[in-house]
Amino acid sequence: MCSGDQNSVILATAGYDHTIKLWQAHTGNCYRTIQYTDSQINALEITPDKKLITAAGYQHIRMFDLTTSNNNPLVTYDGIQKNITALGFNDDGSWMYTVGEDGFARIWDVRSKLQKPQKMFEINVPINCASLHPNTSILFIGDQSGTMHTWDLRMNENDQIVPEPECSIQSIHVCPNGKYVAAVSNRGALYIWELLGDHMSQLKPYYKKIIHDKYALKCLYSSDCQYLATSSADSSIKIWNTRDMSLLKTLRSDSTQRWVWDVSFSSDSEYIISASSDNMARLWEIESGTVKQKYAGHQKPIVCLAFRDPLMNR
Amino acid sequence: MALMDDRAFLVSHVRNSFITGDDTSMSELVLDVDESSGERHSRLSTNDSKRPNTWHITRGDTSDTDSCCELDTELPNSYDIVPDMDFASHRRRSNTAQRLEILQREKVRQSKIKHVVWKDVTTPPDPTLFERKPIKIQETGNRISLLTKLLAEAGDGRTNHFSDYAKYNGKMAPAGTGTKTIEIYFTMTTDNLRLMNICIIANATVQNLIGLSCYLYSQSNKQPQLKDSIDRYSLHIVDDDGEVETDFPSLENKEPISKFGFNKLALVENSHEVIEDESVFITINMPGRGLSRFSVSPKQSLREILEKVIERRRLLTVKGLDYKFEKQDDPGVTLNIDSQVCNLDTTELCLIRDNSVRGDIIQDGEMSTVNLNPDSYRSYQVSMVNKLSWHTPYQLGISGEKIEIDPVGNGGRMFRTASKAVSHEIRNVKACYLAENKSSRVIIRLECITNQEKHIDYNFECDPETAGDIINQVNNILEIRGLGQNWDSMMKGRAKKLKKRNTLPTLFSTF
Repeated sequence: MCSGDQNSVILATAGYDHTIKLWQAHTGNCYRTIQYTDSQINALEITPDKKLITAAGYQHIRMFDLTTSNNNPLVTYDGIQKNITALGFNDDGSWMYTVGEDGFARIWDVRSKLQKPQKMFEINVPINCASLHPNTSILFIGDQSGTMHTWDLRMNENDQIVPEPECSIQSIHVCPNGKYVAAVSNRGALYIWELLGDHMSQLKPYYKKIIHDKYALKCLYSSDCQYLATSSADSSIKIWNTRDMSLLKTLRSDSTQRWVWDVSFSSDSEYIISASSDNMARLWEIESGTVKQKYAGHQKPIVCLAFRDPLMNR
Repeated sequence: MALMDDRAFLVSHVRNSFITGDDTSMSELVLDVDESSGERHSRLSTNDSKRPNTWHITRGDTSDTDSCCELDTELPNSYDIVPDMDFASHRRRSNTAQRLEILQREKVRQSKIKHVVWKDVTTPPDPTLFERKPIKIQETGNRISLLTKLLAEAGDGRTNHFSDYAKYNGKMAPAGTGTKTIEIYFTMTTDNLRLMNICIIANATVQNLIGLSCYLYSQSNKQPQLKDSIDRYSLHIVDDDGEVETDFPSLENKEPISKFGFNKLALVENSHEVIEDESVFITINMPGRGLSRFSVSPKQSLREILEKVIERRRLLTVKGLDYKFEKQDDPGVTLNIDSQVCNLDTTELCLIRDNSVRGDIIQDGEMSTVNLNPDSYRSYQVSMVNKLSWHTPYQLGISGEKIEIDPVGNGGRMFRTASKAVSHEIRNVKACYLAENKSSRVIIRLECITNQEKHIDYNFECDPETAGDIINQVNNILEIRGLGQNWDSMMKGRAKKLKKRNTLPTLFSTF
């Protein structure tokens, strides 16, 4: 299976063992291992054209080719002081945002030949997470002081909201329909705001609840906005119905699963893939709540994954 | 290495390859002193006739002493040659050249990588980049994802039962991990498919290698398919042609692979008898009653183990008298009786009566009653000495009825041997005495007769104190049996008495 094929499933996992592993998602076979020297990997993202995989580590971001077997990076982004904690692309992959523990959110031009840095936003507090609104002009940023920042890229304006003092925002995700933004905190709380206004930049509190006993680590909407998944240090993943915020399923495997750092839905929301500290990624069938596949091969905790799963006609 | 008894060759070799990188010049000094020229000349000429070829550096058929000495004392010209740990291959190039080549390669590699360094933004950004875009919602509708389709197509056949072992794959390991490549012959398949090169991380065990081999074999869709458990397979030594050396037992599963020097091994399907090896040993401590060790499967529940204990130790089971397990190092916390052994993360358990706590059962006086009481069960840790003088750890269990001899663990042996648990009825035990008295350890001999009237001797090694206990206990039992009393009726009487007292029931074995 060629990973660069537009019509193939791509699953990549990475973490503390300095490697990115690419998996055949339905068989659990690892078909490629890319070494990421010098640092652990904090975040992974596949470019919208599915040709490159981008990994963020300590002080650098590297892009690797998915279409060939060249395991050397094609591009390295340097000049950052600390860990890069999250990254993402706009819809056509012309620019990339990164946020890091140095307290800066950066926009990189990745298409043009010069690839010059484009924009910067300073917060002065280590940043944990960021999510781009689907209209590609607002970036939501969560930091360790518990503040959520909205950065309007077009107007270059920003706004802050503190849902709860003295906590840390661990993950943010904007619903693909652009109407809601969800965030989770290290106290296990889930916050959802409704986005209002012409530019979807006004936030109205919509929902708040403690949903995990321990750190919540990730929140993610499914692509059809039907579900919201939250993962936690209590080694569980919870799937919520977005319509009434009722708990649909708690996915908790055998006793071996540990902190669940990252999750990703299949494009039809039938399955969810999780990355855990027990060096294992798992494929869950949401309806039955069972593990359908395990991805074993990492030597150390997996903290991030990237997944692309095209929709097909029946 | 056969050349190494040629001293001339050695000196020349050392001179030309190993000395000269030494800044302190100590090595040259050592060699020079040793070989100070005049002395050596004479030595050479006198010895030459007797020992031809020893001090010669043979160049063709020349045996000219002078020319060889000249050659010998010649100092090497190149200072680039430095000692290296790389014994395996003869390197012709210097270290500097190698290092330069690595740098060169890295430079070429780096030149292919585009570096973008963050600079503080001075120019205003291109405004077209951040246009607000209409939101497209992905409608799933009647469509399914490719993953769902692939999973449905693959069905259950997709599962590789050995995927837990994929992490030992050396080819997928992070850079810098030590690996070892071993040729594995799969004896269950046809000739042209049977050989696979398996690259495994260096600190894996034999069991990991079996698992990884099974994983890679299954992944390459070879036929026939493997059984779904690695317990069914073991690794054997092979000769150069890939024929299994049946004279040797299989490699011990728990040993690290680095311990063995083999480059070739064969994966062989076990016959059914050997499969039970996945068992674990559980130690059950009973306050005041010593301990028992059981070989159990990790899937067994504590309830099943309790039944085993009750059976073996013949504990009192009356209504209202229940037992509970605690972890040995965690007193006061009762374990769930239905939890499995593999989930306990300990193998040291403590069995106590319900409503009791450890320590309140035994008083000193009663302790000695137990020891002297011939019918109570006692167990001892000993090692059996066999003909090959291998010392295998055993548990010797002695009760009024029989003597049980159970193997314990595998004692770190390289190979599996068939160590079986046996038991002998007390009436078949003939004698137990001190066979040998060494300084710290003594050997006791136990003479028994099997049911087939065969005489059999066991030699156990243990410390003198245990030896004394065992001999006392066995002889005590034998003595009572020898008195010709009706043992059973005596025991029944004792049991009745106990029931009447209805105290401390765990102290005595009853029927």
